[in-house]
Amino acid sequence: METEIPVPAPPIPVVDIQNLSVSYGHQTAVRNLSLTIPAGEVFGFIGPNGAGKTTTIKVLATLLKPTSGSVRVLGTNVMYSPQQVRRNIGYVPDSFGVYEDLTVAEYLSFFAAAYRIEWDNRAATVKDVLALTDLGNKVDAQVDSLSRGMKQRLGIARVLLHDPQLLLLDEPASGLDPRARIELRELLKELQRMGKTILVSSHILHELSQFCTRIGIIEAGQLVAEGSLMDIYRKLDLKRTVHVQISNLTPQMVEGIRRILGITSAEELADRVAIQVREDELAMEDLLDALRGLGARIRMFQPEAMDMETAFMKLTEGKVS
Amino acid sequence: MPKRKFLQRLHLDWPLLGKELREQSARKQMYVVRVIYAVVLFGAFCFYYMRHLAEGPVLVLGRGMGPFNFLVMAQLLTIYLFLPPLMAGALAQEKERDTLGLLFLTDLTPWELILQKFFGRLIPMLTLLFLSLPLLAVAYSLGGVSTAMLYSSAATLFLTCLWVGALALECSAHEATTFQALIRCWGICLLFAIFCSVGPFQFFMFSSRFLMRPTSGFFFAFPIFFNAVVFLVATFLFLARAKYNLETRAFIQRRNPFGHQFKRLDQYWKDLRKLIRAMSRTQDREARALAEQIIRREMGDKRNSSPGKFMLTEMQVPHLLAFAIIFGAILLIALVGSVMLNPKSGGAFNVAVGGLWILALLTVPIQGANTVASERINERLGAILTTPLTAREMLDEWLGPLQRWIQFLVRPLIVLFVVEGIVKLITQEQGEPAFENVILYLVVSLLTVWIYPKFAQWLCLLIGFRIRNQIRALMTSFLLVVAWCIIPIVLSDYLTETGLLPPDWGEWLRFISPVTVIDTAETIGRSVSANSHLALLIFANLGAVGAIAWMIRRNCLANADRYLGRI
Repeated sequence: METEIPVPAPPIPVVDIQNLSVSYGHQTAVRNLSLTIPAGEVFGFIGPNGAGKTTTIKVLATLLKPTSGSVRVLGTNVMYSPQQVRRNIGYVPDSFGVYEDLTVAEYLSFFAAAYRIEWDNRAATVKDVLALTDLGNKVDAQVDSLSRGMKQRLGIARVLLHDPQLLLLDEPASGLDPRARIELRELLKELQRMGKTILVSSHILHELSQFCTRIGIIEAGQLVAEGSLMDIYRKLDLKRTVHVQISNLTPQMVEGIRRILGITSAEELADRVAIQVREDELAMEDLLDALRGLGARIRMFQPEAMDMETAFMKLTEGKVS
Repeated sequence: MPKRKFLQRLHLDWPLLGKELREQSARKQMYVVRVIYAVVLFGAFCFYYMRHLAEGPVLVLGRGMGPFNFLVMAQLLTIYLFLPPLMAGALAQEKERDTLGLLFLTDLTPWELILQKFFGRLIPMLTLLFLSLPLLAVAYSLGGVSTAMLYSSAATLFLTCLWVGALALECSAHEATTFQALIRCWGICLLFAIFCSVGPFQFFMFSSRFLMRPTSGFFFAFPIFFNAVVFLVATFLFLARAKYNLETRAFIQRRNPFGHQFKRLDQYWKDLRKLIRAMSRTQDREARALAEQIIRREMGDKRNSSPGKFMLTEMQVPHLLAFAIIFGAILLIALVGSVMLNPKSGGAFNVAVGGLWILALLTVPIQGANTVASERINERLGAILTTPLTAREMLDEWLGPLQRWIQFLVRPLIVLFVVEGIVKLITQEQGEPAFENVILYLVVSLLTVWIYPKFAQWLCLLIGFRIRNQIRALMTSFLLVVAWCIIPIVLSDYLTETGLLPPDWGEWLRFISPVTVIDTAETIGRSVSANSHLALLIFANLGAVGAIAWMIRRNCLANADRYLGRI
């Protein structure tokens, strides 16, 4: 008698959006958007202003009713059990949403109580989130006196109080200075390490490219591209430029470089060679080996950052929904 | 089980209430308001005591009803004036600072949000009312006030707090901004006051009429019980409506409803003028083209309509005319009839004039201060200040809606003055007001509607310039104008009664208040002979107020750039 090996059920995605449409009167903000985000992923939601990012996030946050389609968070439909969904999400809106007359501790204690965290655990929970967001030394400061970066971190501290599995961050880096952006990025990386699933929206591509495991590009309420960065580059046939300084460069060597498989062009500049590479065909380390194989003595090897702007401009036309 | 855990399990551990009280305790103005209120209340009581009861220690015994009545009325007025501003921001402010969505995401249910917000704003109001307890004790100890009256007046005050608070919270949930919620609430309170000022409905507002009767038993208890039931039902209905509004109007867009309606009305009149022009000048091609444009805009492809037909069918002109004629005739009959029945009193004219002035008092100062404050709160100021517009052009633009609103209030007032003047002249008999008195009445009344609203507008604009916080600017403007109306009268009475000021000087002091001027103008219109002394005082007041208004206006226009933060 054969014993049946139980097939493990596929894990429930944290976010499952199917054919979501949202209309405000005659205007459609989101049309037929479908999206799935598995657990532990940091999903970057990119699009021009007015593309429908905030609307989608608000539907996930149970603050907006979808016109049609199904939206589930951890298998729970936002329309039928919004209260259950709220326990599993933490939403940071694009505005700070703070009470200026309270201190940081009072602000967090209020939300801890509003999320019905047990009285005995409240102080410890507040202390923990303050430590995580590096606001421990601001515990008695008036919320009004905090900088924009600190207010944003306070907003993240607030949503961590009830330990949700999904974080919805709407333009968290908007209006922050470079230092605050870096601090925020480090905080998000830390949250990612803690296993949180994060959906973060932005219209600035570069800031998401550094920690997002997957991105979705939305325009005029429709998802125009979705996948890992590499997938999108591949889809768009984007190339990466590598700047190489070779001390013994000869015209024959430049010709040899052009013949390497995966290289589309090699342009000789005054002090370097600019090589365009299809990364899906030729990895950076393989290119380095190939150059060494040609006898090149390499002084500098500098791949350019992925050209996210080009990808964005190729995929979008600046349309709003 | 610890007490707090037990409360938490029963959902009685109200975090939002705690937050509300903590936030308010962090605001200095709450303490300032309490101190000012206590000073005014105790001062007014001392004044009342000195004026009416200071004849001797024995003579005051058994005369506690007067001060008791005075205190209850003062507290009722305080509730109507101060509870709406206190409660109007409860939910509207959450909308303004984008925190309402965050509250929705917590485990608090809509009913919990509503009730905690309600009590969070009600408690400070009740603490304000508790300030009068020692004074009520003094009034009670003088004698003449029964224990039942004490309890029932406390119940009335508490119930009034409940329903006015619930109404203000409903407005707060309904509107997008605190300002709109406040105007809506005061507007409804004013309508309620007008409704209650006639016939059998009076006791809904001031049940103290019944409280003050030295009766007991069924005839004492029944109206109180009836009032309590009505107030409690009203409170519940307003709270239920607030909960409904909270869920359905949480994320409504901010817009200016007055501006929107005025624009629609403007468009209507413009279209009507163009259509009438096209009808009357059939040969004028330009006029016909303009009329056709309007018809095309409104009817799209269905263009087989002449200007006359369009006015009849689409613009509903006959209906409007019929309504205006019927409404105007009823109003005129009511106004004229009331004066004819009792020529010595102003009758319905006084009620209508008073109502319009109260509406102006409630709205003009607040809208004046809000002119700049709303630009600040919506963060539009920076963008506008960097345009080539001059400060004067900006002010013209911003003050436009307020000036329209003033026109909206002033025009009916002018019509009322003129009609009242004509009625008085027509119905004049021997011993009735002289012709020159009616003319004086008309001149003074027209000057008051020309000068006072302008003064309030520029004064409150200046306050809006100087005070950066919106609510503080609105409250300061409102309180300052209210103080201008009341304090000179109270102070004059007090100083004259106590002999600190000669009666002539007291009269001069009294005439600082616009209320005295408006009231005296009405008296002049009804008096037999002209009183040059009173006319002099009135013109002195109007001249001084006009001059100050002109100076403030000049100051605002000259320093607007600096006040707005532009070099």
